[in-house]
Amino acid sequence: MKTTSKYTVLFAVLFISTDLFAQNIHFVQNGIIEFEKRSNMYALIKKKINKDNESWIQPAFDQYKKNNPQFKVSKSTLTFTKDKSLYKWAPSDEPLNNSWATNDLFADLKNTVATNFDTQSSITQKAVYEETYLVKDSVRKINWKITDETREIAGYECRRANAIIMDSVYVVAYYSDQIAVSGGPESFTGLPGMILGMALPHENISWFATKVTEISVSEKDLVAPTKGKPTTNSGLTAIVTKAFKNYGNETLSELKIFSF
Amino acid sequence: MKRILLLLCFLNLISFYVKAQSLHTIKGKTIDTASTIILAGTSIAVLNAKDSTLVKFTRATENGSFNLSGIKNGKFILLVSYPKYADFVDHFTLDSTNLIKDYGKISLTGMARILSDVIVKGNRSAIKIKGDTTEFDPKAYNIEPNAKIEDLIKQFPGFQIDKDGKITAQGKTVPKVLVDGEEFFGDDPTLVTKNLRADMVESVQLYDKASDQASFTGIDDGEKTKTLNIKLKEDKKNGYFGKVQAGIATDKYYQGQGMFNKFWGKKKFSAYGILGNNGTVGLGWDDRDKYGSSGGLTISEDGGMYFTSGGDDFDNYDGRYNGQGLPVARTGGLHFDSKWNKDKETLNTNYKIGSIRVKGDRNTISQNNLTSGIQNSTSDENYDNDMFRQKLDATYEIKLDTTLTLKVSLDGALKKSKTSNNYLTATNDGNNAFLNSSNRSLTNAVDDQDFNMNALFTKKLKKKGRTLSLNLNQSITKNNSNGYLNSDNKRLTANGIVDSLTNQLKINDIANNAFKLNLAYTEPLSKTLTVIVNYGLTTMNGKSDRRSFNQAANGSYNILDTLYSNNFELNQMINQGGAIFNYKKGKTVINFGSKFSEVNFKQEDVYHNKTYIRNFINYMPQASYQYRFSQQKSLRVSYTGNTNQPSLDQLQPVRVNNDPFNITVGNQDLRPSFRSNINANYNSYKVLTNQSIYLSGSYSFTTNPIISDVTTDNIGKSTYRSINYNDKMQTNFYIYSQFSRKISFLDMNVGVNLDANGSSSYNFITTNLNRTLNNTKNSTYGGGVNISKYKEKKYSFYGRFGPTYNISRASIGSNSDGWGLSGYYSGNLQLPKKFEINTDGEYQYNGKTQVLTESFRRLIWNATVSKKFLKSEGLKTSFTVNDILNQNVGFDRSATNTTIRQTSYTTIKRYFMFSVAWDFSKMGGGVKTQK
Repeated sequence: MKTTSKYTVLFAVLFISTDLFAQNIHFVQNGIIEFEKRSNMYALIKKKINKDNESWIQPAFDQYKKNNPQFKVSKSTLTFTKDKSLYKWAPSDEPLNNSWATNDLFADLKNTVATNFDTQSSITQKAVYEETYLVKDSVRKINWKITDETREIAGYECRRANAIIMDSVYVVAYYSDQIAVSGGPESFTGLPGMILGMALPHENISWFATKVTEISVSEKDLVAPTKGKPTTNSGLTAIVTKAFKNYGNETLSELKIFSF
Repeated sequence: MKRILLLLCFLNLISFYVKAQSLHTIKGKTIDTASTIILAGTSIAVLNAKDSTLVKFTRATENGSFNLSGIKNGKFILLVSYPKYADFVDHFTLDSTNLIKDYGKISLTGMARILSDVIVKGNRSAIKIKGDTTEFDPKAYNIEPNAKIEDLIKQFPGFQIDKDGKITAQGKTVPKVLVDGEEFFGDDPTLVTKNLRADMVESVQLYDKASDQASFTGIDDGEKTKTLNIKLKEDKKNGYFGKVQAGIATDKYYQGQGMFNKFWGKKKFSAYGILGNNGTVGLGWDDRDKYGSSGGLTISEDGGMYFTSGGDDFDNYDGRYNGQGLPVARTGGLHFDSKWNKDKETLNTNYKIGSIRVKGDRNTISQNNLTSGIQNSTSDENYDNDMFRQKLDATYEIKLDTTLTLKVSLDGALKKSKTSNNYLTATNDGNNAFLNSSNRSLTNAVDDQDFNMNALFTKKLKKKGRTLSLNLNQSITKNNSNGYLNSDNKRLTANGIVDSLTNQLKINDIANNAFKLNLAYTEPLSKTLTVIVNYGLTTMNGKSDRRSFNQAANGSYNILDTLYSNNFELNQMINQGGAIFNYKKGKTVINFGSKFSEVNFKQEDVYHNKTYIRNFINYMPQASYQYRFSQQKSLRVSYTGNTNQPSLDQLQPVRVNNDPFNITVGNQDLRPSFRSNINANYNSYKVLTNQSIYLSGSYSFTTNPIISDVTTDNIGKSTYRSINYNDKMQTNFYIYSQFSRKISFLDMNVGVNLDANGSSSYNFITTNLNRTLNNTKNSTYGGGVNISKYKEKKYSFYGRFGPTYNISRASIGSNSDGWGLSGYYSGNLQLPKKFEINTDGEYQYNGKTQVLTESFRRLIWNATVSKKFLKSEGLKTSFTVNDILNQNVGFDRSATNTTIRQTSYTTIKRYFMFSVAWDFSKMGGGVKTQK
């Protein structure tokens, strides 16, 4: 009898708790997030102007301001499950920019990133000028600094974390506990939740989620890119450095973005 | 029992592991405080207490429990968070004595209950634009040096900032803070700092911003957020820079240059002066950008850049005199530009003054191969031309509102020139027997006045891509000249050699007025297709009064020579209309359409009281296809066609007696010809391998061409007339191809190129024997290799070399085929102790041909050794040798119709120059001074 009542209580508790749990917050574990990358072109171009080039970049910049908005917006999606994610860009129909003076490598950077959370590895397809590379490496290790600042993004409560990557790039990320996958846009992972907002304040570029859709995601939606010359992060850095080594340190530091 | 055993084993394993590594485990269970509900999925993170960086994280299991293992000794923070609940935060220390930290039950409290206690919701700082704006002027407030922006904002009425940096304005929280329109996230001072000081602020604007959704969809959902936009001041730019250079050389060559540029805020003033006789007549490419107006740079709507360079002696793109003879130049200029009223108004103005005097000799030998025989001519000319010019221009642009822009440009120029030319010419026949000769001198004093005014309105209409523009232009030019012609001409006649003398005063008064209107309308027909419709009206009227006076017995020139005096009045009206379609999608751009124009002109010959009225319809179809594979690879094919209307000189030339052995007569019956041109080019550039491929070709043909009909009599006098010729087309072609890439093991770029061009044209030649159609075919084939190597701050080298083969065929007369070779190199080497060597050389070889029996070779080699002084490297002394081998002679070969010509002329030859240049600058707040 005692055992019977014990079991009854246990069942009751289990039943109640599952019932109560159903009223609890629902944690998203798969779906698609739409991101908007916004590049402050006015600031990016302005930074390139110096004493030696102002005679031609300044007029190009003035012309750019006449015909283009301050922010260049491009759209990308992150498809994810508990184990994997695929970050890719929406095909763009916009005509190619004709001017090398107002082009920005970082604003135009469009990497496709397939991340495997189990193995902590990623396959990234990168277009480096005319060449396409397939970078297979472990995921980027980031020493995140958690803060108590929060904000709502696409309907999700997010917490801010800061970090420095690539020795000098300051990153601000907003992640949400409510999406129980430690993923994010581009190559950014490693927070206790999904990154829905990310900014590089000093690079004048940000990524923010505009929409989160919870749907079931099949393996074929997460197929990693296959086209491209296989290499690793350090391999790619070596390739780029070799191609531009005679152009001096300034050019090389500009090319750091290919390891982003 | 089984489970307990398993757990025990597990714990044993862990403790063993922990002991070995001195690693710890943290565990617990999360539940809701009020309802004691198990909170599954709660995120549990361990942060370093020192800098709150993330160490490890996990999530609570279904039953709310969590277990984090593998944590080293140290001080940590436990952060437990669950959506809509207040965070649980606890500081704890792990040392060797405590291997397991068990929190037991962690109760989380619903957010509603302890909102303000722990968590700072909302953002300290944040993004965006638009709406009714309140603007604050920071100048009205007290700002301590190095005060932060918060200190400034606090002073604004109705503003509060709490200890966490949260801003409240007019009773509402401000969730978004923008800096120059971009969200301001605030820096983590332990990671990075970017100083945003209060004295950098231009203004602070507060406005209600519609929600992102509303601004995205355009549908106002009524949600507004207070937004603060901090506008920073433009970088304070104050300072000046300049350059002084002087050089002295052998053979009386010298040069001096001085330039100065001062800028403050958005104003810029610059001045320069140049004098010299070594070919420097204006600002070079670099200097013009800094000290003159912008160097002919235009930027298209889509951001493409085009450089154009002016055509007169002062405005060469490289500031060098490229003509013949020895120039002495003294020029100077002033420039001022400014932007104001939030950059809505700009002014750009330039004044240039200068004189250039060019002296020299020119010797030409030519051979004319006629059916009636060969005629050989020589011409020796010396000249002394002096020109003085002043030019003022100003451009004012104003943005009247966000859609309407007005740009007004004015320019005026005054030019005075004095020219003096002496010619000695002689023509002999194939047996070297005398046919004609001339000894003549021409002196002229000319006054030119030019005035132009242009106004351009551009209006962007409501629909995206719909624009309207109106351009109005008025130009007035006047040319008055006064000169003397003195000639002694001899020619062979049946009665022996006849001598004729001319001594005349020539007074010319020419004035032209033109008014042009152009209206263009752009309509986006769809997302990808646009049409530009335009209408243009041009009216021109001109007067050209040219009088020749013979000398009277008393020595004054007052007898009008009616044969060589003309007075024409010309009225011309052109109506033009057209439509060009533009299709742009992704990588494809297609462009097609046509323009038509109707030309009416009326020419009145005042002396002979004759009126000529002519009408032409011209059309100019165009089509192009462009495919841009990528940023660095594209293909373009295009067609353009245009009517070539006969020129006034071809229809009704002004009769002149300057050169009595070359006379032009008119043909009133000329009709326009039509030229078609097909062009294709492909280019591909690979950045990583530095591989470039460029292919380009064009073919053009002219139907109903206007060709020349020359009647040459047996004493060598030629009369030129233009006629239409329907039977054959004139054609032109060219092909150019280039391939280059980086050769890795040499670490240099190597390229090869091949090119060819040719033309076929017709002309009639009439001699006393017959009238024949001559077909001239010229073609040139060439190829070459080039190499270049560059190492920043060490050296650079470029060189090219290659042969050419030239074929010149005339159906009448002899062929003139020959080989040529040309090469060029330039190099720069940076040596220790701030020494530097720059050198370049150009080699040219023209081989013998059937007609030109002498080959020509020339190597112009220049070198400069320089040393920089001072820390700023601002002072530079140079030793230059121009044309080290002293081989520079002006040389030119050409073939037209049946005539093959070779010209040599005076140029600047070898000299040794020593020069000193000083670059100075002072920038910004006056801290950094370069001497």
